[in-house]
This record gives sequence, structure tokens and C-alpha cells, in this order.
Amino acid sequence: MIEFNFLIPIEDTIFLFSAALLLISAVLVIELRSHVYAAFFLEMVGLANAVLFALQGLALIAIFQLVVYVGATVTFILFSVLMFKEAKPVKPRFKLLDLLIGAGIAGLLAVGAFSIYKVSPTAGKPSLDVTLPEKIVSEYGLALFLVFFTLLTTLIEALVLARREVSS
Amino acid sequence: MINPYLYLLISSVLFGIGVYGILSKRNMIRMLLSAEILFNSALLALVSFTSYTKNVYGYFLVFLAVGIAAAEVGVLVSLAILLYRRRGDIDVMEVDKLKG
Repeated sequence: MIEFNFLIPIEDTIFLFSAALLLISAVLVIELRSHVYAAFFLEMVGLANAVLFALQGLALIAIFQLVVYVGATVTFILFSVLMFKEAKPVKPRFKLLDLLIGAGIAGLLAVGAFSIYKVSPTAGKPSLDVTLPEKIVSEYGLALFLVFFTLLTTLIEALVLARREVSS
Repeated sequence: MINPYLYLLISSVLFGIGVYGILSKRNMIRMLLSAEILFNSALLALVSFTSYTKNVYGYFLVFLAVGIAAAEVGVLVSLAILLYRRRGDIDVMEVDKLKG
């Protein structure tokens, strides 16, 4: 049997790649002029997020994110923005101020997250190796029904949007 | 094993990018996309805390959040399309002129 020896652990490599993809795609969503490309890079954000979920051991949530969020929601946005003309470029009034506010909020959150991370108890918790789908169906049927119902409303909205307008 | 704090750090940076997008753009679709970045950031933080504390309720919250976000996107895109049909553009600074 062949064994591969990586200089950097493969998990770290995937993490670095996904984190870089996530942040670069997020910046491109904001800065690209074309709505279509911006929506495409939002899909990349969702995809990279799903990889980060899977890296934390939450494979089921990663699949749900891929199927429902990337596969349905963002694709819905992507096809909807095709209906709009490309936006006229508008010069932002306080770009530097907006940038400073964004950076300040990110810094505050990072400090807050670090302090929570330092004090939150983790030891002694049992590993969650229960069969999650079984638990969802048996104990959280109502929550599951709500999720299905909200997804159904999205389908109805898409149908209403696609309906041809009749002029009166 | 990757340090859980790194996930929270990425989530914070992503939130900052989303806030900048919402503040600096006037186009409704671009603001919706920025709000989706904020949602992804919050979801990443929620998943990190859930994974870190091994709390089962967090899993269900994530499922609910993704489902409800899908519905919210449908409503916002419908509003944007209606606005575009009525006015011909989706500049949010012009929306207040729709007031009676």
C-alpha cells in the first residue's frame, strides 16, 4: 500500500485554500461591476463555506449547504439577476469611511470571538456521534416541517416571478 | 486539528467585508449579495461554535437558518424585480420617492 507523506497536513492545506477562496470571492462579490459574475462568486463563497463546515466534521450540514444554499438559493439569484440591466456605476460618497467601519466591526468581532473562545467550556462534552438524520426526524419533526415549508414558499415565489404579466 | 479561533477570525473578516458592501453600494441586488455575505459569515460562526461546544441544538439552528435564508432571498429578489418593473432601476436611494 502506498503512503503519502505531505510536508503540510492535507487538512491545513484544504483549510488555507478554502479560507482564501472564501475571502477573495467575498471581495469580488462586492467589487465586480457585473451582477452575474458577482452572483457566481457568491456561489464560490457558499462552496468554500461548505468545505469549512466539512472540515469541522459537520458533513451533513455541508451537504445541506451545498444542495439548498449553493444549489438552489444562489442559483435562483444568479438567474434572477439576468433580468436586470447592468447597473450604472455610482461613485460611493464615503468609501474610506465605509471601509473603516467594516474593518472596525471585523476587528471588534475578532476580539469578541477570541474572548468567548478563551472562556467557553469545552471539556467533558460528549462527541456528537449520534445519527443526526434519525434524531432530526424523531425529535425535531416540527422544525423540519418549517424548513420544508419555507423552501416551498421560495418555489411559489419563483413561480409567481416567472408568470407572464397580463396588462389590464 | 485546526484551531477553532481561525474559523471565527475568518467569519469576522467576512462580516466586515459584508458590512462594507452594504454601506458602500446603492444597488438593491448588490446590497442583497452583501447581505448574503453577512449571512454566510454568521453561519460560519454558528457552525464553529456548534462544532466547538458539540451542542446538538446548534445543528438544528443551522438547518433552520439555511432554509429561512432561502425564503428570504426569494422575497428580496421578488421585491427587486417588482421595483425594476415599476421604475426601471433598482437604486435604493430612489425608493423613498415611491412614498404616497
